[in-house]
Order: sequence, then C-alpha cells, then structure tokens
Amino acid sequence: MIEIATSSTTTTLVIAGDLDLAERDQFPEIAARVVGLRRQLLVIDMCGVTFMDSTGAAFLISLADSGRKRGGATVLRGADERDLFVLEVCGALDLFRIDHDHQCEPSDTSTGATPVQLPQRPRPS
Amino acid sequence: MTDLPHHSSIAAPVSGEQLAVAITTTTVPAFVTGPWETGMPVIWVNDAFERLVGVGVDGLRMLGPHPLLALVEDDPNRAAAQADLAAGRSMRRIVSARKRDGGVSWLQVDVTPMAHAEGEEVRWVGITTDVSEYVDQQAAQLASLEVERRQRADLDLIAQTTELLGDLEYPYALRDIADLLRSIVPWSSFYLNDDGLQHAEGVDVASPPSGRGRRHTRYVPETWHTDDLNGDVPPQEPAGGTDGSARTPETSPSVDHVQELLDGVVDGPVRLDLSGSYGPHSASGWLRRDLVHRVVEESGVVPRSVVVHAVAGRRRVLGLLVTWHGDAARGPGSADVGGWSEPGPEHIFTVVEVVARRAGTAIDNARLYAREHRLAEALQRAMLPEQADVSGLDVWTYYAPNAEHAQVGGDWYDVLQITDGTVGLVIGDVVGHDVEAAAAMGQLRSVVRAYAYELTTPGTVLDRVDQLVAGMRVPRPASMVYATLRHVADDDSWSVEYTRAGHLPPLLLRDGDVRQLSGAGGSLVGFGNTTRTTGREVLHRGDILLFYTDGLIERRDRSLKVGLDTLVEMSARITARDAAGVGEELLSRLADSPEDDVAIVVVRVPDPVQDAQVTALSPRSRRWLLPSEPASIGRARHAVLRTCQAWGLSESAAAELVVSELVANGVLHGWGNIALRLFDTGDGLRIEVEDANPAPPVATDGHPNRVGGFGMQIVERLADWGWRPAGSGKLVWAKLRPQPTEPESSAPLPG
Repeated sequence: MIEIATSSTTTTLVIAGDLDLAERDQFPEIAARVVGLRRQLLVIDMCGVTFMDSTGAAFLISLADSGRKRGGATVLRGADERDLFVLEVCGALDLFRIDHDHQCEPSDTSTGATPVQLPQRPRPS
Repeated sequence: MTDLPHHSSIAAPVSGEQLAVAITTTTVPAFVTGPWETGMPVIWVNDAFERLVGVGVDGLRMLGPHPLLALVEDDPNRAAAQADLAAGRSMRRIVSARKRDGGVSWLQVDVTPMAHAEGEEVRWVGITTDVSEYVDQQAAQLASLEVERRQRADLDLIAQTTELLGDLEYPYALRDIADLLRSIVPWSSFYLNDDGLQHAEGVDVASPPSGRGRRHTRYVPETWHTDDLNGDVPPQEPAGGTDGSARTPETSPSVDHVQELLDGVVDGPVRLDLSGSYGPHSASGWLRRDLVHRVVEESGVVPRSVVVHAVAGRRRVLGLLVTWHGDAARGPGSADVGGWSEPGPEHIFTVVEVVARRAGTAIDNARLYAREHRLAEALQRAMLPEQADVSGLDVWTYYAPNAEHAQVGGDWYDVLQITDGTVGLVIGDVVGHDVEAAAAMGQLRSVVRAYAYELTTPGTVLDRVDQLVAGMRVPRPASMVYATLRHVADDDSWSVEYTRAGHLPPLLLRDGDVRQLSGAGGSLVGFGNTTRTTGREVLHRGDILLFYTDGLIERRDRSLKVGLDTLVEMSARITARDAAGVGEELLSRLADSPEDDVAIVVVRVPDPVQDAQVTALSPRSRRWLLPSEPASIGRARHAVLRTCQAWGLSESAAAELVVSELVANGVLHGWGNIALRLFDTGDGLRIEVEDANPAPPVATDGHPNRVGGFGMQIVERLADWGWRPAGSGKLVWAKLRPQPTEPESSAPLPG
C-alpha cells in the first residue's frame, strides 16, 4: 500500500507491505502523481516496507531520478539494511539522502525474518 | 687473316644511315624534341608517329610551345615526370592521347636525353608505345575487383544482419542493424507500426508490433530546424503556425506515400521529401517530424529527403526502414514523387531492400510465434490446477503432467476457500493424459467448482456434478474425491466431509498411524445411479490428510493394491512437520519413475506447540509448483522463509531476496508454471527455479529501459548462480554464499 501526503515543500510517500513485481501495476500512476505535485523534497517512508526487490528499487530510483532532474532531493527513511543493499547493487544510493536517525514506529507488519547483515561493497566516491 | 669471312660479315657495324632508316621506318612511333627550357619543340617525327597522331612536325609546330602536351588528354602523374625532364633525367609515363580517328588511346611515352657535346643544346628522343589494351584490361580488372569487393561487403553486411535478426530478444537488434547499414549510407533507422509509427531500436518479442494503425500521434520533440526547413514555403497566413493543419489550405498536402507503403498499396521504396507538407497525423507528416528531429540530433545536418523501404511481414507491412543517402546527389529538380529520378548506387538500394525484407520476415515470425505461444499459454494457464491461500492450514500441492510438451494432463486438484473457515478440496483424474483428457479435465473442474461454492455437503455436490456431466457429453470417464474442511473454533479441530467417485482413498496420518478414508465410495463421475454418500472425519493438530492420484503409486510391475500398501507403509514413516516436507518425503520414496500424471495435495493442521520442539529427520529439500503470476513471488518468499525456519538456516534474508528475483524473472520472462526447489547443501541454501522457456535468463547489465534489470546482479552478489536446460525449458540455480559472521562494516555508506 502506498500513500501520498504533501505539504508546501515536501511530498511524503508512505509505503507499506511488499514492494515487488506484484505491486508494479500501481507504480506509473504514483510516479505521475508525485511528479505532478512538483515539490522540491520527496520523503519516502519505508518503515512499513516488509520486502523490496530490484523491481521495487527501480520504482524508487525512477522517483528519485525524476526529482533530481527538477533539482529536487529525495530522502529515504526507515529503509533497512537489505533495502539499502538492493539500492546499492542497483548503483543508486547516491540518488538518495539516507535518513539514518529516523525511528520507525513499532509495527506488527514484520515478516519475522531476522535482520541479517548483507555484504556491502564500498561505494566509488 | 685470322677472321673468317662469314664472321666478319656479321660483325660489320650498322652505319648511321642505316640506323636513321631503321628508326624512320619502324612501326614504333618515335620523335626527337628540343630542350626542356624551350618547351621541347618537336624537331623530328617518324612515319609511325605521324600515323598515330595525324600531324607531322609542321603541324606540331603550329601548336605553339609544349606541342606534345597539347596532344595529351589525360596525364595521371604529370608532376613527377616533369620534375624528371627539368632535371634532365629520362622519364616514362602513361598518358592518354586523342588519336587521329578521334578515339582515345593510352600511350606509354619514354623520353630520354640524347648524348650531346658540351654547350650543345639538349635533344630528347622519345618513343611511344600503345598500351591502351593493358590499361583497359587493368581498369576492367580493378573495376571487377571493386564490384566483387562491394558485393562481398554487401553480402557480409546481410550476413551480419541475419545474425542479428536471429536473436530478436536482444533489445537493440534493430539499432545495430541500422548501424551496420550506416556503413553504406550516412543515416538509417527502423520504424515499427504498432498502433501508429514509432522509432524502434529493437523488437519486444513478448508483444511484437501489429503493423496496424493509421493515426501516427506519438510525441516527437519539435526542433527549430522544422521551421527552418519550411523556409521555402512562404508564410502566406501570418497567424499560421508551424503545424501542417494551418498550412493545408494554402499548400495542398502532398500524397501520403508513406501511408501507401504501410498499407501495402505500393511496394516501395518511396522517397519522402522532408520539405513537403503533410497532415500532422499522417504517416508522412509524423515520419517527417521524427526524422528531422532525429537526423539533426545525430548528424547535425538537416536532411532534405530520405528513402523509405517497407519492412513487410507475410500479411501486412510491419514497419519502415528509412535511409538518408545524403543530399549531395539529389538534383534540384526532383520533387516528392513516388519513385525517384536519379539513379543512385543501385547496390545500396538492393542491400537495404534485402535487409528490410529479412527484418520483416523475422519480426513477423516473432509476431506469429508470440501469438501462438500466447494462445497455448492462456489455454494452459486456464486449465492448470490452482491453490488458494488457505488460512489456518498448511497446504502443499504437487502436479506433474506426464505429457512432454503440454503443461496440462488429465489429473487435477483444486484447493478452494469456500467461506471463511471452510475449505474445499478436489483431486481428480480423467482417463488418459493427452490434450483431450486435459480438455475434459477443464470442463469437470469448472463444474465441480461451481457446485462446491453453492452447496457444501460433498455428497450433494457430487450428485449435482453427476447430473450435469451425464448431459454434457464429457468424452472421458473420470474419478475424483471431493472433501470439505470446516474449522471448529472450540477445540481448534477441523471437521472433514468427503465423498469419492471411483477414486483411491485419501489417507489420514496421525502419530505414525495411517488410515485409509475408504468410506463414501461410488462409481466414476457421471455414472452415479445411486445417491452419493458423505464420509466424516475430524482432524486434530498435527494430523495430515493426503490426497493423490494413481500416478503416484501405479507401476506396470505391480498391482494397484500393492502400490497402495506401499504408500500406506511409506506414509507411516513420514516424520516431516510441514506439508511441503511430507510431500517431499512421499515423492522421494514413491514418484521415482512416474508413468502417468501425478497430482498430490497434502493438508496438515499445524501444531504450534509440538512443531517448534521437534526437529524432523525428513530430507532437506522442498519443492513447490507456482503459477506464473506476480502473486507467486510473495508465495515463494514465504515458502523460503518457512523452510529456512524449519531447517534452522540463518541466511533467510538473503534467500528471500534471491528467491524473489529468480521467481520474478520466471514470471516476467519464463513460460508456464514455475517450479521452485530448495536444498540444504550443508554449505548454504541452494535455490532452483525452473520454467518452460528454454531461453537463458536475462542478465541485462542494468538497461534503464528494462525494469528489474538489476535482479541478476543482486543474485550475483549474494550467491553463485548458473543455469542449464531442463526438460523443454531451463533451470536457474543459485547457491547462497555463507554470510560472514562478523560483518566488516555495519554502515552501508562510508562517512
């Protein structure tokens, strides 16, 4: 489930559940709406995301990329290690500002998977 | 006297006089000239020379200084020869000269300075040899060599094109072909017509172009050059814009030759004049806008006219191959006409024509194949067994048609969530395992489903099925079991009702005991003369219900009775505490070499207390058959999570990601059902995903136009992977690398 909230400067996208191929049908419409709002800052709240694969990452990348083309920025908050790993493999981490300090509200949507450290490749500076 | 007389006669020297006669009468044209400084005036010529050029010394004198040069028509390397002459060296050159009869001949001229005394002026003696024959021969040879070279190059280009067309899956096949063509023309590109023309770099083999559509409205960015091009069209209406509609009243739109080409009215190729005016949504108008934009973008030159070839399939033109030949050769008089006037290098047209035709055939093949495949795929999918996600029960299903190329056979199962807390279960077997059996199965399944949702008691459902099937002329007899499971909240048990129509009894496994549910039996579906009965059971936590078709136990070398006894015996030894594990144990012991279709449904009532404590000794492998739909990706992830938990594996997060990517690839690019298998190798989890598409997995290096192109890179980072052909399709495997226990860096970002 993806919800859009907006203020005068910021569009906030709250994503919950799995972000994979099964959700792809709604991506274009959401992307079009986000672009249409024309806010400088896009905040993507991933606290409720239970799983994201490369299809989901491609969606986030397309959002961040179209934001950047307009001179805007995209903040990613609540993304777990695995989500960042996926974005890193896609070579897209520098499209996002990562909010490391964000504290997600506790939710019961977790998959039950224990967080596991995934290998990280140092990013070319 | 020592000299012999005859000897002395040979040795007698030729007198100067004789030499003069000799040079005068020889058939080799010869001449003598004055020094270089005075323009080499011709002083003397012999008869042969006079015959050759038609003038004597007097005539030559009238030609002024450098009379010999006046005779020369063409002289390929004059400068070098003149340098020799000026330096007083002998020289040889081949020139063409006009003969007396008006023809042109190639002459080899040798001019040598004659010995002279000091202070005397230099004289030159010249000899000419007619080498026209050799020159012509050589020219012909060179020309034929050139033709041959060009033909070889053309053939080579066509061969490369054919190779590229052999792999239309490659997303830039058409772009690469166009690039090849650019070795013979300055610019070329493909356009495909799929509900309107569009520029094409490749063919989407999943949905190839239809070749239909006459409104060409895809967006083309406007370039200022468009206005520039129309400079020759006087702006007669001040308010008139640049779009074609505003101009139409003044300058009548030219005939839409491109549309004629697309419609197959003309065979083409046609020339498109890019300074003409066409309707904004006409084929010519759209193509003109797109071409001007593109060619200017790529080459910086504003094209004036292009040649358009049809990319024709069997029944309709699928697209266009546009080549711009440069505008230098174009005469100012050629208007926009269907054909063209200037000849142009014929071989280019031939090559482009051949390439266009081959591309058309290849795209058409892809189109036909995709259509046929879609049809078969849709029909098969409609008939494949389905498993609803049932809450509160652990359900595992298995289906293996014995047919080699079809994915459907006569066996089927259905797991239906009829209401909240009520689950319907069907397992059935139509006699035979060919396409007709599959068709009969499809009909029966629908009938059972329809009544299952309407009526609840299995006996009643089967009665109605009997009535309907008797009148439906289903061509094959069939057996089946229909059961319902209803949750009883009071003691968390499940009440089971079932009825059998000529089918083997389901098994109830409880604490190592196996019981055949052999009640409520009856004849085959459609043959029921008597009312169907309903058997009843109660399932408790940890109980397992096992439904199967005879393919699981039937072997040629043993009777069905022995097979059933074996199954009961095997089932008693099952230790797995999850439905998938139960199924795995069954398959590993029984379905060694099935001779028929096999369908299995395992239903287990989870036992939250016991399951967590007991570790099963069942084999560390699991398999699932998933329909090719996006929802299967999540299901596969849950399966892998459950399995990792059951096996106590820690790498579930990475496993989940790898499974998700592999299954997503299978859903996107694969065909038919997707088989997911998991193995605990002891050295990391091995994941296998199999589908019926023999094409290797798409390992794109992140093409921006292919969403999910990073999928295999994610797999690459987490696992060793590979693929191999399997059955009629392929199997992609990935073995997770053991994760480092001590993470080197906990922060994903430096700094």
